[in-house]
Amino acid sequence: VSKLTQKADILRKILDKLDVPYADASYMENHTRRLSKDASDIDFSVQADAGVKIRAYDGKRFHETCIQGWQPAVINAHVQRLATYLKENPPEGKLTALKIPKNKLADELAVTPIQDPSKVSIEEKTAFVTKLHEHIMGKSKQFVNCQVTYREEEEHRVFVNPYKELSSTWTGCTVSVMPFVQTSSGQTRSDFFTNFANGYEVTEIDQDELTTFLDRTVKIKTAKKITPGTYTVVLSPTVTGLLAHESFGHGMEADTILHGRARAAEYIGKKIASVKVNICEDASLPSTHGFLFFDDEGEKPKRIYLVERGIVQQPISDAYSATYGNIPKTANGKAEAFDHKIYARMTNTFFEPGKDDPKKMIKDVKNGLYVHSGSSGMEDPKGWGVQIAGLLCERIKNGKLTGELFYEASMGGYLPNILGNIKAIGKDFEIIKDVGFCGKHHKEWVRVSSGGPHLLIEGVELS
Amino acid sequence: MTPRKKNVKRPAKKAVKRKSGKKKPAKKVVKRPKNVTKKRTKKKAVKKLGKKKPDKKVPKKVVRKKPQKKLDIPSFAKKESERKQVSHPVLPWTNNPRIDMVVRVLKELTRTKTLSDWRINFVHKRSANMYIGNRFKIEDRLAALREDLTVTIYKRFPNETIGEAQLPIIATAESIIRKEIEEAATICEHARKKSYTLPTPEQVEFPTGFDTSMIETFETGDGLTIPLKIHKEMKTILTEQDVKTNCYEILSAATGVRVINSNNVDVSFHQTGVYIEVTMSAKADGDEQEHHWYTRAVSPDQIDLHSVLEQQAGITKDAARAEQSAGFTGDVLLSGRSLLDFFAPEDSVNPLILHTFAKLKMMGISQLSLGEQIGEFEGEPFTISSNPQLALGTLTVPVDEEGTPLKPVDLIRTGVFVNHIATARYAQHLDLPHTGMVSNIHVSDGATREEHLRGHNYVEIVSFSWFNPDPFSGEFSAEIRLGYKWERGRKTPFKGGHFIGNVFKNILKARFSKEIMQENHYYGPRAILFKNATVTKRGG
Repeated sequence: VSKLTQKADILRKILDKLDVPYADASYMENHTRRLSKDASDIDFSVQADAGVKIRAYDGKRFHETCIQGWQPAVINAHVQRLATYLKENPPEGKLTALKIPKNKLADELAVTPIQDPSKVSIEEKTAFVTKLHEHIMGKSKQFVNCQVTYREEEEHRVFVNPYKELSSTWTGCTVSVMPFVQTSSGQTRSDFFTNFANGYEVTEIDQDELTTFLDRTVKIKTAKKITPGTYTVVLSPTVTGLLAHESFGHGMEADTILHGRARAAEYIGKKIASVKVNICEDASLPSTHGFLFFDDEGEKPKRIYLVERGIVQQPISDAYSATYGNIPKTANGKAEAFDHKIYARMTNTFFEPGKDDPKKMIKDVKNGLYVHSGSSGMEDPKGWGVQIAGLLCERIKNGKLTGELFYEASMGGYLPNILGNIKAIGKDFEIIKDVGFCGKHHKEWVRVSSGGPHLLIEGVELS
Repeated sequence: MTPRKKNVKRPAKKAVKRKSGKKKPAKKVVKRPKNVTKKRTKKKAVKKLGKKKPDKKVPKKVVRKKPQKKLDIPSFAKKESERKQVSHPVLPWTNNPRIDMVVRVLKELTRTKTLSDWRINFVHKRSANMYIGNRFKIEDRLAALREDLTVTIYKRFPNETIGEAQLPIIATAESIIRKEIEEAATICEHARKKSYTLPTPEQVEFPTGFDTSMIETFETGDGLTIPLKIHKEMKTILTEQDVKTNCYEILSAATGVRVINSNNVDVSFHQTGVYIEVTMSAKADGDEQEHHWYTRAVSPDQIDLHSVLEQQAGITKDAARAEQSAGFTGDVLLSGRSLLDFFAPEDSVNPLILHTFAKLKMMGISQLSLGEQIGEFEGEPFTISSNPQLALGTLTVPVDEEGTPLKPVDLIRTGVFVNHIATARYAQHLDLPHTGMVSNIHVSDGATREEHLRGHNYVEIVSFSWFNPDPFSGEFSAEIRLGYKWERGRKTPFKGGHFIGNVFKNILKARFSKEIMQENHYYGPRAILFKNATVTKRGG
């Protein structure tokens, strides 16, 4: 019996103390190891967090008690206190049954990386970042520095409720490269390259891809600021992913909808884009940073269509918002850590591929921009505005990339206009190999990823 | 929200875990908690805040010798008996047998030369949160207890090099902890850098950074009475507003922090904080728009809920009737939340301040040169300081995570870059004054009264979607959630469009209000005016 299963047994016994319509318990443990090298420094750091979340639903609301570490006696004492509180403060009025799937399930799950990072010595990892750093710095004298980071994430979960007993182990490794250049006026500029895999195989970086990135970064030195205006753009899969995430990801979170904060609620079942547009959410995609075996409420993931054939479909939900919003529960109930609330959160959010050839999409643009990368975004589910920032764009002239770069542009606009102006959807598809995190506004960070194909969109606001 | 992925390690915010923040009505000079005296002597403030004698919980000043000046003497060269011994009060919550056990293990491993030096960072945090949804229904009550114990170990090698490794201690068994530390010691060899010494005991001043009554509440229960009391007050106020309250969250926490190192630094202190986030919406011409507002404070008493919620309700109604941005070039004024986002953002550091970090100098990527003006001023040369002793600032702390006593330090003085933010290592490597980590941001007041700064024809930005400049170049293009176009005293709300520019360049054309405000970890002018700035129109 594994340690995780032992924990599940103990948690089940603890839950028995709670006399409520529904209760669940989670053990959440996360480790992050980071090895970083630049011209002046090498740093090694570890972060770790572990704790237990006990939730009791009394027919009206959740009551949670969360305790750091694994201390069954302390958990017991806290749960006893909670049980007393619940007994002394019964809910008033009509009670509502929580929408939690009742299929019985017991499982112990784990990802199997091609190369287990725990079996690789620190010497080898240090040698890798050092060599990669030297390789990049040797590529161009224009690089004033370059930060190379190797990062390992390890996540253990145990979930217990009246119907389920689940445990999982997940690992993710990321290599990120951030070279710096300086303009003639002394302005520091940089760009970002990442590779992601479940194991140490992440260090097998596509050299052509890296070289293309480095060549482009050198050119950032002379990149211009974009003239604000509307442009015909071809989005790379990276930026397509950001658009999916910020537009229909946050806007379809059921807790946001429940609170009357999402315009998408008025559009469920209605057309928002052309029939070619499908936007999905799928935590089950393997080898992605948003992958989950089950969410923090014990639900196993499957593909959800947020927009299917241009029509707004099903929101993503946690148990509370599914219950009170009267919608299906999906595998999207996630918490940042054991002492944070579970909200409806994204995992992997993406546009599905279409039928168009990405090369032809560029060829079809007489005067426009190819958007290579973006760094961040912010949701606006009620106003349906979009902000995607840190865009690196390249001019397309008469169907050809010109090498003329524009640095730190931002995409804005009204979401239905953007989606309505999608003219072509590439047949390519990529979930970005990055180490993305998503917040609810400025807090509650959870791991996610995004992606899709190339998109050709007309009339996009850039500034 | 997806964060910027350019994840260069930024020592600033990570150094001091933010537990709290504060928000004031935008148009008012800082209002202190009703029961806090304006005088900043810490003992009096604490006494008033908690209505209680400053008993054992109140840190006392510890007078110690000044730090050694010869920074090239590695601490491992000193014998245990030669190190300074300082008796220091250990505050409640910051002492437990686990810390004692880890200290014992570390001392043993130091004696056996497995390690050279070490540091322990311990945080005991109790939190109580409430999540309120439609029709003011409490959806979730959450009480949590968290204890983070992090050990940083150092190993010195020949050729004046040192390796360090940081490891959080999750395990409780001594044998496992010992093994983890021994393993981490082997990592030190692979993370070698030029040698430096750890901070030694110094005089520590304890600023007013916590609310005693909150600590007492958490001591006697799960703390949920704190958010419940705030919820009841908010419900009463919000019910009176003619806007819809969609949802709100009230997060409260009380923390005990302790820093111990092998040089006999042993400092502990308390922190408290509340975070309130509200979403309201209003309709105009059938179109509903929302307004999202949040604030942090050390104590709930700092927040004048009635005034601030009334103000936010007004902003919500303006957001509903806002027109699309028509574009503008000229005077652009930041106030309230947008001003805070510029100087003291929630989840990052203003690029101007980031470039004062010694780490960036060491990396060769800082755009600023010590002793030089930050550029050619067309506007008002200003002073920016890091002020860890700001009374009730949300980043107010006596020491940083290394145990360095923090003092106010000017970073840019009247437009000249005068000091780097330098932790022990960077200070010694670059021969800079040792400032410790960055804390509250203090900006000097301007020469002009706000009403004169505002003039007649300008754009005021109330809130951004996210003001998130590129940390290295300072370039920004931030979507405007709500702004006002002011013409001859009349304001017209607008939304959309982007405020575009560069932090390093725009600041040279800025003028600052004479009136000051304090919010969250910002203390400075209530308004800033950028001359000749650009707001794009919606639609490009």
